[in-house]
Amino acid sequence: METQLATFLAYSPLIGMVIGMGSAAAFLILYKANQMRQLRVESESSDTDDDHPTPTLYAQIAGILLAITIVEVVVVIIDIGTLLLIPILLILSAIKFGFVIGYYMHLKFDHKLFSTMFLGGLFLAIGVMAALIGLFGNFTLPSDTVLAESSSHEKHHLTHVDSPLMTVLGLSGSDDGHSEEVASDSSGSLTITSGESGVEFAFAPANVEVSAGESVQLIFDNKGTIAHDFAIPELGFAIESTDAGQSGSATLAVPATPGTYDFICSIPGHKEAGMVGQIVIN
Amino acid sequence: MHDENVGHATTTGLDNRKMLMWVFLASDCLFFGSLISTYMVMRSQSGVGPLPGDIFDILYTSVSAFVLLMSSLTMVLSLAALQRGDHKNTRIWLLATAFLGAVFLGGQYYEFTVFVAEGLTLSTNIFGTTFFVLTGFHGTHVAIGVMMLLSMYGASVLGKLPQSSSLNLELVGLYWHFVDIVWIVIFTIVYLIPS
Amino acid sequence: MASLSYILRRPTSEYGVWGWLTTVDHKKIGTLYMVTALFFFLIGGIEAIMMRAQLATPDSTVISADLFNQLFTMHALTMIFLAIMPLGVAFFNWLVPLQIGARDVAFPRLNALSYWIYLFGAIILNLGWFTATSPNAGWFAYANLTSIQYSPTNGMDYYVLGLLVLGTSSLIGAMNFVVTIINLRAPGMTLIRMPIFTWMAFITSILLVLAIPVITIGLIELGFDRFFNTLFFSSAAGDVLLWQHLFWVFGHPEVYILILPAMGMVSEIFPTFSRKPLFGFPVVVFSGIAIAFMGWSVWAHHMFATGMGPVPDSVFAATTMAIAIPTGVKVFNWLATIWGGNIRFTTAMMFALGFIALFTIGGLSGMTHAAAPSDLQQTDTYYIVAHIHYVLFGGSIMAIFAGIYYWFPKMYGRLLNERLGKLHFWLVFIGMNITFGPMHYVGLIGMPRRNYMYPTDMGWDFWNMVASGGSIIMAIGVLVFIHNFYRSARKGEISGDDPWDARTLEWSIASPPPHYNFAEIPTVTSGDAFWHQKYPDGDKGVPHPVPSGGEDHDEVHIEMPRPSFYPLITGIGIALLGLTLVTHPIVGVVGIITLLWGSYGWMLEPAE
Repeated sequence: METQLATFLAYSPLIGMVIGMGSAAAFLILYKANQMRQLRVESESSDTDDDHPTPTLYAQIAGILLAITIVEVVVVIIDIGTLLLIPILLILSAIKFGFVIGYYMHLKFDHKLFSTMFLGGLFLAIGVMAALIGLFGNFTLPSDTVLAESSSHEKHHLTHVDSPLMTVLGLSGSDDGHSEEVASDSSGSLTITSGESGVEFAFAPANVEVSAGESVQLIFDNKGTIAHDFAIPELGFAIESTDAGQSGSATLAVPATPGTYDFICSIPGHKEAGMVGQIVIN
Repeated sequence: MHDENVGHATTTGLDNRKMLMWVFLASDCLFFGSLISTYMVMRSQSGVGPLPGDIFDILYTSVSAFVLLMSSLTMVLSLAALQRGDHKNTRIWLLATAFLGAVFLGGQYYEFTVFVAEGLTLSTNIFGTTFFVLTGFHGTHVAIGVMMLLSMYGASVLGKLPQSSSLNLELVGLYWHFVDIVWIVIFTIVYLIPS
Repeated sequence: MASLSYILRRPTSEYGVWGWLTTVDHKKIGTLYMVTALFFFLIGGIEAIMMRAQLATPDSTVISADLFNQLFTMHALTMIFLAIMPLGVAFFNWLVPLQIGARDVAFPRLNALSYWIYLFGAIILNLGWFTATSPNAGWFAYANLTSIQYSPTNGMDYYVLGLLVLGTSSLIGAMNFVVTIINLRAPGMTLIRMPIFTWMAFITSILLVLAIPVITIGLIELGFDRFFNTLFFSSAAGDVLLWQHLFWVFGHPEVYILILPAMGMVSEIFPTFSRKPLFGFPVVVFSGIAIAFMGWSVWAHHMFATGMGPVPDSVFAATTMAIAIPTGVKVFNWLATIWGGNIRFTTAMMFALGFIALFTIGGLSGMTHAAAPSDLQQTDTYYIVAHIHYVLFGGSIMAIFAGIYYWFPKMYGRLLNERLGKLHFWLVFIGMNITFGPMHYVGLIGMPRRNYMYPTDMGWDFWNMVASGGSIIMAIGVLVFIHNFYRSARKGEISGDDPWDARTLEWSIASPPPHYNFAEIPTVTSGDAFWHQKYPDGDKGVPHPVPSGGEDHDEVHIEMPRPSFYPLITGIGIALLGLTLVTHPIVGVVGIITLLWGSYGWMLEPAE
């Protein structure tokens, strides 16, 4: 419920902004029309030299831009926490932006029409960006609800505790011990699952060990919601596409020489989404 | 001599070409805005590495950001020189701008090769996809800008860039500064803000 | 070198094929757009008739599934991008300079370039008919059906490349018109005194400038996925919904781009044929602006069925309902314009009246889509097809026909035949309702769209037969129109400068206009400038004769921008670049060289 409220709060400014912009711009345009008519004679002689920036001023601004950039980098390197960091960076960049636009691009001194045109485009771009981020964003819902709704959006951020990446890299913060290496058991078979704990695009365990020269019965158990397969491309080994809730198996003839190989799901995009692991041959 | 800067009489008194450039820049905001949106939306979605934190070298990139910022200075100095009829300095600052732009491009190219060597390509993960396409299109804009700067230099050398045509240089300058401010945004959002 | 410089020197001829290839005159460019667009309108119509032939009966095998997929995709792409949009631009080209009292647009060569890029983009989009496959994933090409994995043939490549090239054309043209409308108005013509059609052209151009880049990025990302193995719309590593968002952020403003020029046209036609000024002119302008702004906040109403969640659904439903308000305001203003007027039922007026009726019906079905729950039932059914066609055919096309009947005399100096025109109107009006009316019902009882075949006994058979019959009637109507157009252009009744006793400046000069438009640029003191020149003592007063173009034009010698072939060359360069990825890298190299030749030649030749 809180996240829905958060989402709503994220939208109302956008909608308000768009409608507000609309009305404001309509009046602005009609007002501009009037103003342009009056300003035509005055602006016929191009910009006067009175308040025209000098090369010295340009160089000073360049110095400011450099200083701000240094501050930005310093602020990133010293860790002050993202809550403070992001607004600071955005404000600093906006200042740089403003200097380049206002002085180097001369908008401060030019006819306001140019500012209107550019800022119109800019604010629209920001508005669309904000809306897209809001629609895609990090407003995660608990995994049970998500799976029940089975919304195609949420497949990626199924939990906000364990991203697939963290699982794969063995950095999971919670209680899954999928990171440790698992050796084949004494019966010569090894089970690797996918879709464990609601994380669709990951293998568990992600690191396995087998002994060189032996045969291993590799079982691939698909606990996810869509079809996957299992392959070790460098060894030419594959278990074909397995539907959700099914498992497949094949016998892997482990080479005699030690080495480390990747195993993946070969369906396009799945490896890049996290379905990759390593098999170590001792 | 026909003053190119004045052009025809217009309803607002503003030059058509300058207005066209600003309209174009407004549309380019939406172009880069969509690319940056794509990057932002997919920001934490990579299932495999390398991730931004693994391969970004903030110090290196801030040097190249600085280079581009300085090129905006040289650009505006070139324009100021032309507006006061100082052709020698116009050319010097123009070359400086093109040179700094080329340095930036070289820096980007080097950075890309390092990333590829470290395992990040267009198809490695969604970070690779969105990063390279975003910065690649920015780099393309810079490259086109460098071409225009060199063309202006050539025009000046051939005597085809008189003081009365400073508007032409101003238009190239507007494009160049825009490319710079896009980089300010990209540098902050992509490199500085941690994912 | 003497002979080379002879070949490469600036063209001077305004006549013949070479004259058309090198023209920078907005009127000629407008004609090029119109004729090309009408040609593609016919192509799109043939694609539609073929579909209706297949769907006339259940379990039909007239057209294969594969061909049907290409037909519904290409029909939509052709009608939207190659017919309606260019017809709008054709009228922008013809009318905007004339209505604002200018001699041409701000950038005549850029204007020519926009046309050539449009023509080449249209060809690229249609190349699939001559090679393996045309685009076949629907006009909005949802990911990841469009990935290489699921669309392995070249069809979707033509989609990406063709639309990228076409988008460039629209963007360049729109930028040109924004500058023209702001900067080239006659003295005294403030924005509020500017004719309503030019206002709508202005707003449409601003929308294009801002919306085209978004689809450009979507297409670039799709192109990268298809050609360079990126992961933007990968179902696993990327996000397929990203395509939908990017597409519809463009796609919704796009539908306003399709309808605003049409609204502008009828807004000029009603006052003329009611002999009353447009009711509430500033309000109609403001509504157009409001529609343009609010149009950016509604896009996800195309995505109610994608599971965004209750909050986005509600927000976008609300914004969509809100946007009906300015549209309704316009309808009321048109009705108030006609009310109490001295009405003449010319063909143009009848099409305009038909537009109000049919567009309103389309708007009403649109309102039912605005509610997310009911939209969930309607999505991907024929109910949506009905809505689309009522607003696009009943709306845009009817208004464009109205505009053609109204402004044809200005373009050709002759009138379109009124009897044939009325026949055209009734055939198309009745045929359209017979074709698309039943689709509301058939969609609601469950007939899905984009299916090449339906089984019998679903209860759909009868109305599909009826709809197909209606499409024949529409086709006959269009043929009557083409015949009328062709015949009247050659042998129609001479119209004179101002056959309709109209209100705006384009009617104050000869039909067709001289190449310099106005012998003397008028000074404007009010809206409906020409009307006030003619009737300075009020509507009921004695009309004053207004010298055509302002001066005795026997003695006029006005320098106009000379023709140039660099727009054509630059356009060819861009087209070749567009084709590189489906042909061979050498094409790209030739394209870049051609583009550089065109661009530098352009920069180096004098602007006039």
